[in-house]
Amino acid sequence: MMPNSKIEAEDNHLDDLPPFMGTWNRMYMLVLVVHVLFIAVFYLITLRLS
Amino acid sequence: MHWIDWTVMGLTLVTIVAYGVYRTRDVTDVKSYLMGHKDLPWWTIGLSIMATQASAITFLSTPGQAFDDGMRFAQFYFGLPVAMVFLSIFVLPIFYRLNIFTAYEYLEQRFDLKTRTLTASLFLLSRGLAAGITIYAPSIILSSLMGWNLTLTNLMMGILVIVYTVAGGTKAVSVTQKQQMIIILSGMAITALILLYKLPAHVGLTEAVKVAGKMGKLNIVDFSFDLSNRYTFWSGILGGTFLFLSYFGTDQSQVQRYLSGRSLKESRLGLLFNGIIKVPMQFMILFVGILVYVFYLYTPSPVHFNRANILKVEKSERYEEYQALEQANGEIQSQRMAAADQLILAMDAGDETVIEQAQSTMKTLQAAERSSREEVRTLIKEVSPILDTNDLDYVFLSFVTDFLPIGLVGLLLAVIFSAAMSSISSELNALATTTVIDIYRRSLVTNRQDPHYLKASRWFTVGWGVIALIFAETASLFDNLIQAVNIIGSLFYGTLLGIFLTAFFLKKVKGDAIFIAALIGEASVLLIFWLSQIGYISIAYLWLNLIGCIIVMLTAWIIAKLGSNR
Repeated sequence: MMPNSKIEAEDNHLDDLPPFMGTWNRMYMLVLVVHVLFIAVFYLITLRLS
Repeated sequence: MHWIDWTVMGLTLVTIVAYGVYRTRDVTDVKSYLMGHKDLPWWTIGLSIMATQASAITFLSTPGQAFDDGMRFAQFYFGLPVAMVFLSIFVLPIFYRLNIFTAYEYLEQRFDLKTRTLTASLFLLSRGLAAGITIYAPSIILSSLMGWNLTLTNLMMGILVIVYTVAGGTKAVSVTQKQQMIIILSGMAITALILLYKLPAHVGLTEAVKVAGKMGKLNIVDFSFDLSNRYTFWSGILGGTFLFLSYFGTDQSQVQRYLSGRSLKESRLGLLFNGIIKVPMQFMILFVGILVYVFYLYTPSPVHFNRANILKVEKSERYEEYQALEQANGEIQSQRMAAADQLILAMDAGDETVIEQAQSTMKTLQAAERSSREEVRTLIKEVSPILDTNDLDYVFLSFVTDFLPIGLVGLLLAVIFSAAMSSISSELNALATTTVIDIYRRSLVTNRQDPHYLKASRWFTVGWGVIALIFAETASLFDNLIQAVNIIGSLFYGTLLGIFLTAFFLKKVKGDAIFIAALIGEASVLLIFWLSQIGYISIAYLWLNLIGCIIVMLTAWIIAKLGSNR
């Protein structure tokens, strides 16, 4: 078995920071917020135009 | 077809194949053949993932679906961004840490060999069937509309793909998909602009959107909770999330795309790029279908879009009946065109009473037109019961061939071929990889050198290509096969996802428990599907992904708790 500290070090090496937003959690939030905005726009289109 | 169209289409396709072969001339070992050089940047991975998912039938069927049923199909993709985020957080780091070729290798490390082999076999079964349909579905449409020979169309599509996939493996698939996606998106954008240009002078984009809305075509989001309704917000966000988790997390044709990234960071960005772009992309494709619908409000449309079916009727004794139906439909269309003009004028004037009257008239005429189209379908079925009378897949291509200028028809046909080739190449590459890594090298021929497995990988790619072509050739013998194969994904994905989620999150479950749970889960999904088919229960197929996954996880957890946990 690989010691935990080695696994963590390996993960840190693999897991570079994203090019913007600072952390991966913020990147995930960005994707989900954009998705919610799309759904909101689609819902508005449905309400107003359909 | 005009020689300029042939030239545009031929040059586009040959260039892609040549580029794929040229860029991958340095592939000399099995790792670079199956995994690439692991040097792809995020945008190539993102485009490659999108190109793998979007087959030719996506670009042929989706506009037809919007033409007939409006834009509610967009909800099908609502779970996709959620799945991309989930995979980026939980799955990608594990796959990267283990440095694996296939997703199923992980299952042997986590459980045992029999679970790996079972899961790889389920994938080979479902994807092997789908590869044939990925060739057959666009071929049957192209051959019917263009009058091409079906076998030659199948062969042309299949052989082009086999050439560069065998030559360059994974890297060839990814680099050609980038070019293919650029051609596909450009072709669709140009078509949308031409559609707008071809609308009558008094109908701009705003009017087109308003008219489509008044006719109930912009029904994008539906929050009603109805298990039998295929496309609602809930089926998309719940069933869709599980479907896309299964597809992107357990289907080697996708896993192989993002594992060829140059780092975990690039692969994550590729998945997240797909999560942001996919929903608006599907929206745009559906919107092209809406523009085709508005275009045909002001232009006479065929009473049936599949010309091959009409040719069969023309040669039969029922041709006079067909002509009468066509004439009646033409009269309805003339009245509807006048009503559509009236609706535009009323909307410009802002007169609500007149708007409602025009809207009501148009809906009545639309119902009459739908009924007349249905009568033609019945007539076709009576002339030849074996003919498929669903002509929605032909709506978009029919518009392309009838109304696009010379040169652009060739480009749009190249779009359809590119979309088909991008999906088929991923499938063949993934089928060969799984066969070599999870079955051949693991259990059958275990101690040979690298060149042997490289050669075997190439031969398995050819083999799967030939199987797909044979299946595409015989596909027309089976009724409703396309629909059946679409459903097959949902029959297996729930079980596959259940196995992987158990591996990730239920640490106490071991090999025997998950193996039994997978068999029980698969049997349950098949039983539920059968009960649904005979009308005993009513469940849309998207829900099978969620149900299968829950049954597998729950059963594995119970077996582990009961102590049978080797």
